[in-house]
Amino acid sequence: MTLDELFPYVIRQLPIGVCVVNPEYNVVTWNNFFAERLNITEQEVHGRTLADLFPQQFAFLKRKIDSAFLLNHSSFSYWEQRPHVFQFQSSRPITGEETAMYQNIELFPLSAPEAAPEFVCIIVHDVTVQASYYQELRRMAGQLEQERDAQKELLRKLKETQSQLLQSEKMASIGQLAAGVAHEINNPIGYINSNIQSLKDYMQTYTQYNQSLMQLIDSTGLDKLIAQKDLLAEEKQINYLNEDIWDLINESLEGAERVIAIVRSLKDFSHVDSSEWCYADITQGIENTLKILQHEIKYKAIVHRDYQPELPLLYCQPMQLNQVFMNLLVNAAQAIEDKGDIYISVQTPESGVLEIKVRDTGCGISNEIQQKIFEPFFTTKPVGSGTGLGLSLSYGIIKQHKGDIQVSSQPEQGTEFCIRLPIVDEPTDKGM
Amino acid sequence: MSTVQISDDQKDALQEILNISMGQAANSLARLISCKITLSIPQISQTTPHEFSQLFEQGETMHYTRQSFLGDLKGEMLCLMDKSGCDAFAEAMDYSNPPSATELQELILDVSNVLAGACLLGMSKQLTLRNTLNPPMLFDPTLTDFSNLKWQSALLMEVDFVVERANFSSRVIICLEESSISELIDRIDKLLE
Repeated sequence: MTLDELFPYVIRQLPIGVCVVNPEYNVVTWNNFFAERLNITEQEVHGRTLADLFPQQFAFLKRKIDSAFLLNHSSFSYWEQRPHVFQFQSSRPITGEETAMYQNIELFPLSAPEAAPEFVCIIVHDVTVQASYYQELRRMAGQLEQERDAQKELLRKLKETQSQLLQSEKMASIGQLAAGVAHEINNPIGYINSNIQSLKDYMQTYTQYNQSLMQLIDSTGLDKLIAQKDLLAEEKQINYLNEDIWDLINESLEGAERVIAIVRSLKDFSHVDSSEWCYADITQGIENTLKILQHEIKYKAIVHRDYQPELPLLYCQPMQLNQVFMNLLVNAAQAIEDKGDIYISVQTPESGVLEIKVRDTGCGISNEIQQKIFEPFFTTKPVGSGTGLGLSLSYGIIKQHKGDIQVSSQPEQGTEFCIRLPIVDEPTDKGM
Repeated sequence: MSTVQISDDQKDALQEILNISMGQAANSLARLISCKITLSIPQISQTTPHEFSQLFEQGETMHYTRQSFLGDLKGEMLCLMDKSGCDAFAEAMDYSNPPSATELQELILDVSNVLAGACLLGMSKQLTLRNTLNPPMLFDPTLTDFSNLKWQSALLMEVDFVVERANFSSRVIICLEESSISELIDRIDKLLE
């Protein structure tokens, strides 16, 4: 066999597609790669047009062929941009996931040396394996990226939670300290209070006894004795003592009661006993909170109440909710620069839901800040004046009640916080 | 390794040859898209990797392709295309308007193949050199570490093509590796004799 005889065999057997066309887009010949896939032999295809064989792809092929003839050099097509120019089945019909063959195509002009091209040869490379490998790689890269982003987000949340935890630990230890101090003071002030109380009782008895004694002396009619008694009383300023003693005792009692009240509020602050769940009247809690905040609010805002009559009792942690009302009302008062109004409404807009709205006519909150207000440590107050925990804690408390807190605000118009709490009947559903 | 220096006479001759081949390239493209094309005078320079990296300073505003060639001369063709002009150009090339991302990629590859092919083959033909061009590939210079290139010196031959009607401009750069520079100079010397 000569080389010239050998080449057609080689070309027929090549694992790439070879198709030769003339300038009229007629196929001159093609190899087995084409023949076997299209079931048209080398002999049968001779002279048939590309337009007839590949009607859908003809416009594209024509452009590529024209370019190769015109410019007398190769033109290319890639699977990334045109995966399936020729509608061939995947080379892996059984094991592969892809159904159509991915192809890279090269078209190069064929000509005698120094002559204009007479034919264009279309070479088709089956790159299904590479293409699906590449696509898989890209998919995995995308997945990895997603996972990495998710991890980043998790890490951020972890850090946030950690610092929140740190802060709440700090708060808890302050609370414990306060509770400890309160406890230590509670005992002595307790017996001081009851001792003074007893002292008062004793003194009453004692004064009665003294008075009776004086009257007894007076009734003897012994002038000398009576004069001596009066002299003694005058010398010891008994009348004055009799008056002052009660002031002293009453003032002491009052002082002790004040100390007891302070201790009680210290205990409240440290949230000892305050997380108890029970049925409570929400409006009562709001009223109590308003009383505490009287001095902060009364010079700045008029409070308008709109409580729906006959509200159901809510199964909740009243002290915790009071904390929320406190935060909202303090913020509302602080948002008002000079004088304004605070509107509080408590309603049941639908059955099973209690809606509490606190609206102020203050400075409002810009959109960017609105998104951050429930984040821990976010504060617009000067350093040292706000912890940035108020609304974050409130948010936590509302979530603990399976409720929802939302803010809507217009800068310079005011802000409204809306809390929606489910009215839970079953005491078994404590949540925490 | 001492670098081969190219004399002024050789440079002039090379510039003339490039002028002709680039002209043919412009002509090819003009016939393909039926638009008038103007080109700049070819610039020839020897470059270091550092200078080479500065070609890509326009970064994101350009599309880049690269296309290697083998044979008597070895090197790569680079094609820099202004992104803003590509859409209008796509229209001239019968693509949908605006072209999809893959259509745009195909267009960029097509145009750079036409320009690079015509430039290189025109030059090779005049110098009676034989070269084959490999398929063009999209090139992202941001993913390339230019401080780590393995060569000391390369010859750059660059020319700008402008399609005024489509407000499209493209720069084609033939980058010749060092070992091919002496081969090129040999051929030029033969022509000059």
